[in-house]
Amino acid sequence: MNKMRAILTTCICCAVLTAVAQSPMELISSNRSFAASNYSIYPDTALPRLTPAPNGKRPFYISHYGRHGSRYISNRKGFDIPYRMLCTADSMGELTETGRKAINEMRKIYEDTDKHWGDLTSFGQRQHRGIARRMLERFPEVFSGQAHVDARSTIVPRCILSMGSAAHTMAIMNPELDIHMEASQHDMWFMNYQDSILRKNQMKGATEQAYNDYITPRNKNPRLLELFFVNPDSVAKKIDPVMLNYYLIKMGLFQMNTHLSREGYLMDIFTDEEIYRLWQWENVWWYIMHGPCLLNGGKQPYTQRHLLRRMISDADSCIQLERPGAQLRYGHETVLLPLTCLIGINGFDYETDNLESIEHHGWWASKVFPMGSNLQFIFYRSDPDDEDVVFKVLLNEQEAWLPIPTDMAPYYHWKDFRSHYLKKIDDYEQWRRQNQ
Amino acid sequence: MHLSFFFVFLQTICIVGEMRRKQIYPYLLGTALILLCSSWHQNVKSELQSDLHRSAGVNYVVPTTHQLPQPEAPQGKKPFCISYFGCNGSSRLSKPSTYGEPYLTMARADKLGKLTPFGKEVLQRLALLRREADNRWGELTTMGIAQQYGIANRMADRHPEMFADSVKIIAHSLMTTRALLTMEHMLLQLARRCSHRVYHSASNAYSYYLYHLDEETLASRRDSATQACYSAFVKDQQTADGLMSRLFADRQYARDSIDIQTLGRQLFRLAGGIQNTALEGTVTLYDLFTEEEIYRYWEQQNALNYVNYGNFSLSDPRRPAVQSQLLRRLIAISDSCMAYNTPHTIIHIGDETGLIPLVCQMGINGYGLKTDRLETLAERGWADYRISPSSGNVQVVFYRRDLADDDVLIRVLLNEEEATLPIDTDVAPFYHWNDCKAYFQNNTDVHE
Repeated sequence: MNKMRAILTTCICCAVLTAVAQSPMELISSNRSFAASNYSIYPDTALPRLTPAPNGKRPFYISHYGRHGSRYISNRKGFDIPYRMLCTADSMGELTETGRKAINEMRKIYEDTDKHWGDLTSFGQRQHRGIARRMLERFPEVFSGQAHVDARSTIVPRCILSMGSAAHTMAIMNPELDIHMEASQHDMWFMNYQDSILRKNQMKGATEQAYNDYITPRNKNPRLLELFFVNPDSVAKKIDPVMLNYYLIKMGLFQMNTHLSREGYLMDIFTDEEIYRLWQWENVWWYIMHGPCLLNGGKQPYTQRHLLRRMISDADSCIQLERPGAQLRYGHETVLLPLTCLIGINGFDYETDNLESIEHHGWWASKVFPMGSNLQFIFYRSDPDDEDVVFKVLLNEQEAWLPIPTDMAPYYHWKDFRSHYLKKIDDYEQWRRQNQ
Repeated sequence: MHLSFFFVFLQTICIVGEMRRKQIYPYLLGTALILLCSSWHQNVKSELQSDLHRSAGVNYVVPTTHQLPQPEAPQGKKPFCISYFGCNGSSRLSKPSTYGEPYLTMARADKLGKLTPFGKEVLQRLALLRREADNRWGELTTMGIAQQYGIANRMADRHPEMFADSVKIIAHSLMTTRALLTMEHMLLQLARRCSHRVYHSASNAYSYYLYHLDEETLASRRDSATQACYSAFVKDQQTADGLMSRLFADRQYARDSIDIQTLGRQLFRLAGGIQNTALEGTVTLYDLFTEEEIYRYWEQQNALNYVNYGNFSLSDPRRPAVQSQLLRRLIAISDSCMAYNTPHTIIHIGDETGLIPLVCQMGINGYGLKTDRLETLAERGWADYRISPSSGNVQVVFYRRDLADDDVLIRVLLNEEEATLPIDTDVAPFYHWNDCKAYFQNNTDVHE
């Protein structure tokens, strides 16, 4: 009866969610940051309430992997490419008033960004302070007294600063916390693993062809040329119109992560449709590069098998302790996205070779990896001797579902999770040994 | 030392006669401190002999610092701004080759049967050091973390009014992992003491003052005249014959196949680095050397730090400092803080390439000495371990009565001990900020 009730509840929830779920186009119309993919802003303005703990169980351990907060664009290529094109047009006397306003805004952006390429912004610090504060407010049992917090970061400065922002907030809220922070090359084999064998198969041959077939109808914007240039045809011969459109929209989107977000002019130039097409382009790129895209074998998510195995073994160890506290890990979207796909959170293990289908199936990378994005595994038990440890997953602080059976959604039995995913990883590694 | 005693004596006679009783005692306290500082300059060799760890120079781990009595600022002035520049905490040595090269040299010799029994034992120790540092080169150690907690605690204990709730902290760091973690751990400990509003950052945008070595001056420090001066000094310090016989059974092999001078320096550097790690107390390399050899290696290293970062005057006497941007930055940001009622703590984390030039340019404790006579550094008290040990730092604390008080005073601490400046003061150990600022700006203007 309870099982029936759980299944019925899940079905009703899916139906309701489907009915009210917005399409990417609608999301972009109401919040253009969604289109920024990995530059989108962390959605922390309206977080839903969480399901109460299962009867008799209390949270006792948190395992987390999170992305650094909002940052400046990582290198100046994203600025130089469109800027030089507009300078070329300017030297030809071809810029319209709109084009001149755009180039002036780009100069302002450059002045603000120069030498800050890739730096965490004040928005990013605030995001992590908020995430840490809510973690303590929601799960005080995990962080009471002298609870241990083991925080690790990749060796990239914006990740270390993100970790620090969270740790300081936790220490202010509970000065007794035993917080340990570390960032070491020694840990990169699981914190930010670079699998060269999988990487070299990402975008080759038929995969690249399919990608080009998908983006070609979407990557042109003749309206932009008309807006910016007096004689679009002659300027188009001197520049790359596709890349100009791409980088200008990107530049407008990534400024939302900085204090210039309040004054942006570039975003006002583009229509929702144009921004949506850019989102489609990037979404497919992320699917191919890090998702379970069958065009390149469907194995890219396994780049994070070491991290998943490590999280499982860490959890197994921590469960043996009376008060394990929390393990926080700070890294990148290029880890978080494939990890989410590997686990199959919220259906992100969707495999296909049909790139046109991923949007319809809800494979929207923007929902996984905005700036500050994070996965939190919250573990519950009744006491240290409780053998039925259960947990739930929060993706960006919202309850998520997993592709394994449960009789107590959104909670899952830890034993089921660990056996399912250890087997999944073992099977892959055996396949790889046999096929390399 | 004699000159400083004479100067202080004259100053005392002139000033005490004009001071009221209430002013005499703090002045005498300040004077005593000045004299104490002067006497330190004469004791470098005996300091090194009493604790060989000091020979590690910028890697020296100062034993736990105890809080000194805090003088009360005159006229009821209170602290309102702390400007801190510090080096990263204890770390492993930065490069894999630092551990790898001497190990491989000894391992090759061992394979050929050329090591003494002692040499074989040293090889095992090198293997241990190499393993401990593997994939953790240059990283902050737990000792470095503890140092930041201690510095933060003592800073908050010294000036509790500066760390009441909602204090504003601005912290900038070099982009290295060890500097960043140094900053984050210091801020973490301060967070445990008060709920601060902190803006912390690390960016290449700050490198122009955190890690800026003036290129022209640097080039002059590497020109032929400088190299000749340093080479001549080092040549007089050649020390490796004893080491060769201790480590290698086959002296002919050692002479023909080993660059023993380089190996000696490498082993000396490794010896000094151990104290920053958990292997301190378990492994040592100091027993490879005699006391005299350690002192000579240290003299070479100290001279190199002076040539690179001190006010070395050989190449360009008009521009003795290697950089001035950091001092300019500290002046500017301190002046900015004066416009606010809210207490501010400004933290900059760098390394010895910033701290040593800063201390020298400020003239703290006489370390602004300008010379090209490298053989006189020790006797004149210019010692790298005194200026910039692990977690070495300069703290400038600003005092005033209120926002309208235009006679701001400062107090300077070097490695958390009272320090002196080459500037007249009638409120020692405090100085008038306007006098200091004029002196510092003159130094930076001259440099630029």
